[in-house]
Amino acid sequence: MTHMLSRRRFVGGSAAAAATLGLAQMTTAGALASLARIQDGPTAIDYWHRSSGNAAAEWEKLAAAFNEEMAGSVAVTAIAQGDIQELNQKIRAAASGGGLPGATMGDDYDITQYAANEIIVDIDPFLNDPENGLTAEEQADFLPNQFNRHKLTIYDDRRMAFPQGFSAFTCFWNADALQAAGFDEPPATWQEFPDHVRAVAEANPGMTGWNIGGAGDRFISVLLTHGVQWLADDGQTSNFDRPEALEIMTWWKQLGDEGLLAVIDGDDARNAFTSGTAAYFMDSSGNTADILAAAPAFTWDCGLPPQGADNPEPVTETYGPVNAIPTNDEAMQLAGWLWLKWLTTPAAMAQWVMATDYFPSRVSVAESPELTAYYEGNPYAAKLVQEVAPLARILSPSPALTQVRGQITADVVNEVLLGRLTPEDGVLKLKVEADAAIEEASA
Amino acid sequence: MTAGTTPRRTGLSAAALYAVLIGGALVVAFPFLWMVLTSFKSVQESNAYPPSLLPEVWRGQNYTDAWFTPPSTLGRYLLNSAVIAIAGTGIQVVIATLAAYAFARLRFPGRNALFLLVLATTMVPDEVRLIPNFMTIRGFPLAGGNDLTGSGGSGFYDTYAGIILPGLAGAFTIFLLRQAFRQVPGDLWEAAQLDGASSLRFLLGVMIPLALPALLTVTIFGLVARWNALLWPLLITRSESLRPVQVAMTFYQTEFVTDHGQMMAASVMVTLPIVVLYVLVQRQFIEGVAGTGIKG
Repeated sequence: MTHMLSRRRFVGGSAAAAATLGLAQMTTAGALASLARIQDGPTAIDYWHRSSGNAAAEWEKLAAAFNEEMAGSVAVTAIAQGDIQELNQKIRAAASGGGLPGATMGDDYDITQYAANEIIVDIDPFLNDPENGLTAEEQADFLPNQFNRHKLTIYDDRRMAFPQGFSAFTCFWNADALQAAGFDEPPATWQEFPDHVRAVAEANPGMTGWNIGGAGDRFISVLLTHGVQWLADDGQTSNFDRPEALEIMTWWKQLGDEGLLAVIDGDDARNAFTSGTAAYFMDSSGNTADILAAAPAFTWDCGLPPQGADNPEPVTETYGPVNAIPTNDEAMQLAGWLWLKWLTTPAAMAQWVMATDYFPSRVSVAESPELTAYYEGNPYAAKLVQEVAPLARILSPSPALTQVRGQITADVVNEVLLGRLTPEDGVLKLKVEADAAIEEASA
Repeated sequence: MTAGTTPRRTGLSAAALYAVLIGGALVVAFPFLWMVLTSFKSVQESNAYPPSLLPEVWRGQNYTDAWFTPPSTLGRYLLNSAVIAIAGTGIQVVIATLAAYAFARLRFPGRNALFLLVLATTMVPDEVRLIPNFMTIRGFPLAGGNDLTGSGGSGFYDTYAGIILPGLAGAFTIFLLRQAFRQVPGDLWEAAQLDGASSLRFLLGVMIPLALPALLTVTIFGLVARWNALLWPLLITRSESLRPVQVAMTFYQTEFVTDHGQMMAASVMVTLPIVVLYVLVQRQFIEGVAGTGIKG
């Protein structure tokens, strides 16, 4: 009976999959026809991003190059929409009031929110389209963790975003300070880290251990490097009752009390490292170029952050945005896909990497001639793209992540470091408040 | 004895008072001083830790760089902000003056209930109004290719009108001016009526001159709010050629590092018009604040 049911489900499922595939192909074919129908001008779309400074200027150049290549069929305008929150608000406003762009940048938790509200569409039909998609060989060229970053069970196995560049949680250290304490490199595990920091501080009077820029972000990143996601597998509760969370909170508190660890502003944390007053700086891999530019008066290095002693597979957290296709008419969606696909071509991706110091999401691009000179000029980035980039993966997505990371975790860590809560009470409070936030976001 | 100690006590009190005032002034002025000094620092120096007060090398180039960094140059954004602030505030003050006069002087059924309704709008947070405002502006009938039902086009999206329209009826401004108008003695209105003056003539000839400090106060509040607006203009525009100066400020920050020297140079240029305006009308502004009972 069970077997029969399973078989029926299998047959039904296969039929549904075939129908979906057929529909997807028809949809794409229809979109192509829509594009072809527009003879008197290209399909004009906007691409909304949250980049600023040089990166925003780079978008303009990329859009100009794309428009030249696609002359007569698609024209894209890259538009800066402020920071993460402002871009998110604009997308939500446009989803209600009209005027969604042809393609948009989004951060991981935005994508989850947009997918839940059907603001964005599945990318797989475009990706697998024989005419406009990517070949199996091209798809295999992407780093698996990035390629499948948003092809998740919570989206019913749909692919809701497409990668471009990314960065990762990275450890930067003052090699001279470590050398003075007799260490060639940081410890492999977090369990060794507190004593290691004490030894480094003792050998380097006046130097602190680790200034943390962004308590909530770093706490959850460190938890991930123990092999523990912040969100439980059921997606309904947090993992802050895991012993690793208490372990982290305890040694942070101990080092804090000893004056070897502090939570400060992100820029100040990097500046403290580059000025030689902190032995460690742990943040985005994209900081290599800026640390190089600051020209520290000591030898420094970078690599994968320490891992939990019981973590079977080395891991670090992926940072940086992805791209998605908002729900629009077929022609606009196809135009949006063509733009996103073009952004992952070797020349365009290399250009983006050089402008932002992100990692490329395609393996061949990292080894391409376009990036040879860039990596020669920044050997730290060259090292990280080989050693850290393949191990980076995203935090379990949830609409509650922003609140849990940015507010709840940050507040609890600060309260523990200030002595208002014990580490035990801290993780207890963290668990209760995070679970409530997850429940509220799910409702 | 008493007479002998009074001047000394007065002198001491005055000295203590001045010390407190000077201390307070330094606290208020320090961020501005820091902004100006940092605007001359290089990126390395502005990111140095611990930070220094004075630049080692004075880098005036930051101002030129800051001017040319945003697309279309900072000047275009300053001009847009000036247009938005002046037009938006001007229209808002006219509307608010008429409404405040009606609520303060005219007698009509439901006046108090209507006024409470106006006041109640101040309790709705800006964030809650964003999406409804966006929908209203984009779906504005017969504008930007829209039909009578507000469909088919983009309404006032990506226009100066779209940026300005939602802030034109400000409950806080109406409340403030109503308070000022209510302080004008009723005898004046009776005298004006005997002279045959209409409500509009009384408003223009008597009320507005007497309530000038309050009008200047709401004008400054309006100008500053529009000058500092970021989210709404960002939401309702797509063309850089229409966007105000606070949007330009986002171009000085990159993903991983901020050139604080350039950002502070831009901040000096952006803050300067508001500081000059305040200096010019500070006496009336303080009178207006005192007269309408606004506190910090």
